[in-house]
Amino acid sequence: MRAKFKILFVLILACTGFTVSAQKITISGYVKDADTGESLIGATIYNTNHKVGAITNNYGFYTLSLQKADTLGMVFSYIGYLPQTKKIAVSKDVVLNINLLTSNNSLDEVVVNAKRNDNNVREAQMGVIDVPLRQLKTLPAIGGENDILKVIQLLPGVQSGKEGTTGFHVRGGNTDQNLVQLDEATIYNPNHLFGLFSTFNTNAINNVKLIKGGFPAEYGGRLSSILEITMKEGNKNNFAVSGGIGLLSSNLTLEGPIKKEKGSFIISGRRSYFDILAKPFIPKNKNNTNYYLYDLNAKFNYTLTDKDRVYLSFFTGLDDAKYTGASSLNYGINFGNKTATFRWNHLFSNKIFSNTSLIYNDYHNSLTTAQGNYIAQQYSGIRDLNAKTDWEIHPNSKHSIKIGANYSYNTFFPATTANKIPKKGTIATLKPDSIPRKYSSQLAFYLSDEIQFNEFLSATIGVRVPVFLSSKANYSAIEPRATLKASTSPTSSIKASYTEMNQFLHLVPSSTASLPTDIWISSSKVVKPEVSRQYSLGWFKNFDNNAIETSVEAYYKTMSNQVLFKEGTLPTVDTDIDQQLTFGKGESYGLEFFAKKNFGRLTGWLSYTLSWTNQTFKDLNYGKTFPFAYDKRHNISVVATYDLNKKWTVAADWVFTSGGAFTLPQGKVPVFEGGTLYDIFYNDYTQRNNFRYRSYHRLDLSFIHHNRELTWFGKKVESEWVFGLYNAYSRMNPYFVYLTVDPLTKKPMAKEVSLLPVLPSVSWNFKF
Amino acid sequence: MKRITQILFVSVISLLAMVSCEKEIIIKQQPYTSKLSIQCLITPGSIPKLFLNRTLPFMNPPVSNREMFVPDANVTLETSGTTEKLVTDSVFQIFFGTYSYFYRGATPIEANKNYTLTINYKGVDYSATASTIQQVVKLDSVTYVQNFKDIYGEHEGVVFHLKDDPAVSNYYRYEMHRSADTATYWGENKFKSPILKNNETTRVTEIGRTIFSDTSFSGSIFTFAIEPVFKHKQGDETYVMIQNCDKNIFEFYDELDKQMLALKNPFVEPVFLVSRQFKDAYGVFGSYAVSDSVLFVYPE
Repeated sequence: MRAKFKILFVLILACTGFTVSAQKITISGYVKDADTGESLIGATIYNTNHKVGAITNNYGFYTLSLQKADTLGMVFSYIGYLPQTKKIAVSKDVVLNINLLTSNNSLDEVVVNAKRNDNNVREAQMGVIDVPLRQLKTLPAIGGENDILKVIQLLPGVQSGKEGTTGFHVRGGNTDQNLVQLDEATIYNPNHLFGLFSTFNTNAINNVKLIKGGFPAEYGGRLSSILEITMKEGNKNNFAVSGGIGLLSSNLTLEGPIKKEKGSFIISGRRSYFDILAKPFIPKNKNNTNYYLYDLNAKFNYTLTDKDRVYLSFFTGLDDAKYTGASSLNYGINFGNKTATFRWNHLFSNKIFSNTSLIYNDYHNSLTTAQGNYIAQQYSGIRDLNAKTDWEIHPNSKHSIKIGANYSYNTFFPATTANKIPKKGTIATLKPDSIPRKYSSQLAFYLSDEIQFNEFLSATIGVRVPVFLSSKANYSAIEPRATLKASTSPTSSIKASYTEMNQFLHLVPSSTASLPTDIWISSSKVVKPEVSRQYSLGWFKNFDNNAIETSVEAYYKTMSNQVLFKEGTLPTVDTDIDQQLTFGKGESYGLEFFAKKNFGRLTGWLSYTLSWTNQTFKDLNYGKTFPFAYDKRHNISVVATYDLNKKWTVAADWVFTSGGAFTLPQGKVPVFEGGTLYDIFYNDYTQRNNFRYRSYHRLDLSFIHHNRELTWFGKKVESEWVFGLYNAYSRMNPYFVYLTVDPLTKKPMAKEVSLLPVLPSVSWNFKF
Repeated sequence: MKRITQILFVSVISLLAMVSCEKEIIIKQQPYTSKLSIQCLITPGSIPKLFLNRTLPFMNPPVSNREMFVPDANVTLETSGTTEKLVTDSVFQIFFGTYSYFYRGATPIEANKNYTLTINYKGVDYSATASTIQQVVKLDSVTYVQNFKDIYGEHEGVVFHLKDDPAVSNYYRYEMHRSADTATYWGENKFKSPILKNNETTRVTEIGRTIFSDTSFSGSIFTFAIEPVFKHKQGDETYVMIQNCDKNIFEFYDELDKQMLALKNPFVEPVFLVSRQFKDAYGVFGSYAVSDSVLFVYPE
């Protein structure tokens, strides 16, 4: 508590420390793509005179206050674009909007005198990775479907869940501890089923950023990560059509100006047709196997005045699947998200930028699954109404202040049952309308200041105050956020951070069921908010004019009020879920190595994570500490994209993870005089998560043939054929293990189920 | 045409590959220390019986009852200053075709007494106490239902009606005695006696799987339905009674019941067995009182 007040004190001091000098001028404006008018997020603006810089925000806006000089040298750069240098002679504040050209000729090593983007070294922010969109579009994926979540699972500190389950794990956190936002709307289930497809159509994506530590104060509500996805705005200059036809799905994107250079739209949709193609090939005894998905993104934006812009975004996506497979996998699942976001940017001045948003969110997950003689039904429904405002204030080049507030009204309606399949009669189905609603509100205020002490030392000091309100319980907290950067050379720096996060929404996982049987609940009198405290320290070093970025980060994270079901919990419709839960704590620590090459014919990265994650619950495992189910010791990813020539690009990724943990009994206990209906042996479990799956590794390949010479109806069309091979050497990676008895010897035996063998794919993409 | 054929070939391969596969794997058995499994339930009027076995590594092949039995323990039962040594014995269970091994005493248990069970095995003492203070409960009636639903599913069943005593905490389960013949089968796997032939019959005893606590119906009429383990036919005669058990019996068998449900139902969290009465051993030493028997004839 004392530390929190100290941080607040420093923050107040910092905020009162800034002054506005009459000898300064402010340069501000927007950085955009010259062809399409798309805002470039995270572009670097660098002043060569004073060696200070800024980066564009999520709307492409920047502002930089500089000491006056006869001539100011400005460099504007962004990965994948040709940098621009400008020498300007200004005596007063100026608006400088920049349009950057794409660097199409990536085969040649372009000699750039200008400085390349070195945000990873220069900025105080740590634990953040901008996902390279190039890799997003070229890396091989199942069925030829580009997948944001598959790519981020190749980054250090990020692990996938089970193959075929949703979610990812960041620095030992559970899947619900990741906040995934699409244009500020929360996506509760960001995967499509089996992990085959991404929820996010990459043709409609402008920027993807993952934050796993040193969280800025404007983010909160989750313990482990923020995945911020920004949609494109649409081509402001010309109408464009792009799409793709694949084996399993097709997509189409339409974009264009509403009014040239003033407003634009983008509509992008996708639908799978596995259900139609597969039906003739599915064996009769598995005739219920079926799967389809669709998603639709739409965004409209308009510049009302020089100071005002409005945006309207929509997203809807649905998965519907039925599966009759191996003896332990029979299910039907239907889940989807619907979101709508309205945003208004306003420039109060060239130093004060604001964004105000209204967001609606509707999520549901309906699962019916039969395993053995038992059937489980589950429904998880969430509706959010959210209003927020975020302000950026840049009083001078030493301070960048962010302040904001966020209010959301949440409605939860979860229900779950598990019963033996009746010999006759029908099974009562869960009806969403009849599930009792639980209401709560969340409020948050934040304030932060990014302080540039001098050329070598900078810090971001902030605080976030979240509040949870419901009829049964109220909670509030003070979350200090601090990062510090010290440059050790022009191309290297050391950074440290401390953050506290609170989470009022919880996903309760089942430890044993094979499928996503997790349900969302909110905090209550019984279910306290989860809290994390994370310390991290890193060294960042770039080479070859920032063409190669490297980093080593160490982290230590504690998590309290973690949630699991009690032993022997049998979910029924009538039981209060809160009473079925048990609470504990978690601890995760590790080391992450990352090396990334951003330029040239060969681009990609190498990442290695060494980590440990344990949990302790007084009601589980006899109160002793046990490994987290996704405690995977080693995690290696090698990613490469190589342009062979103008026509051919090859891409590959290889991943290796140590096996996750699962529980098997160690002994069997004979019991007589029990008179039970079943066998007389019971299981002696000595420890939870006491066994490990075999390690997981997989190689994916893709070969892309570019054709830029196609013409349709007199229009030049860019097209490409993508040939992919997922799991190229068909490694049968473990999905789960179950116990059974050999019918002949009566000896117990273990069986391992694997899900995805080698999967070839071909797709054709076009753009005009 | 060739292009279409190629695309179709790739499509078929991809689609057929979308089926999961299973294989047997070798699980390396982790070091496991065998413990004792102890069950001794005493009731006034009956001689004491102790079932004493050892736990086994999970992946071991099945062994006979004799191999699991621990015959070389020193077992005593003490009450009111009198100590009786229990001796090993066995009985052949005709229906199952197996021997059951146990320790037994000679002196019948008395009501309203405190008993101390002590097992000395390999130099270690395992000791627990029980009091035979349970009241005999009156079974009001026994009926039959064609179809009832519980957490285990839908079944036909026998319904018990009794009135609970509000003054104390009670824990109930049923006990049933009947004849079994070559047509009788047992359990979900429909086990039939390998020994009985032609018109031979044998007496069998069945104890309820579920043990009910009176927490939610204290002092009221309590009705519960059970699905018998031994399958019946119309006209079969049984003698049913209610056991009124102590808390130790309730906690032990309720935990086993929860674990069995978790083993059968993959959506239920696994249940770890806890050593309660005996340190470093699993088991129960408890007391129960059994009601008078009621004749029940299956109507169908």
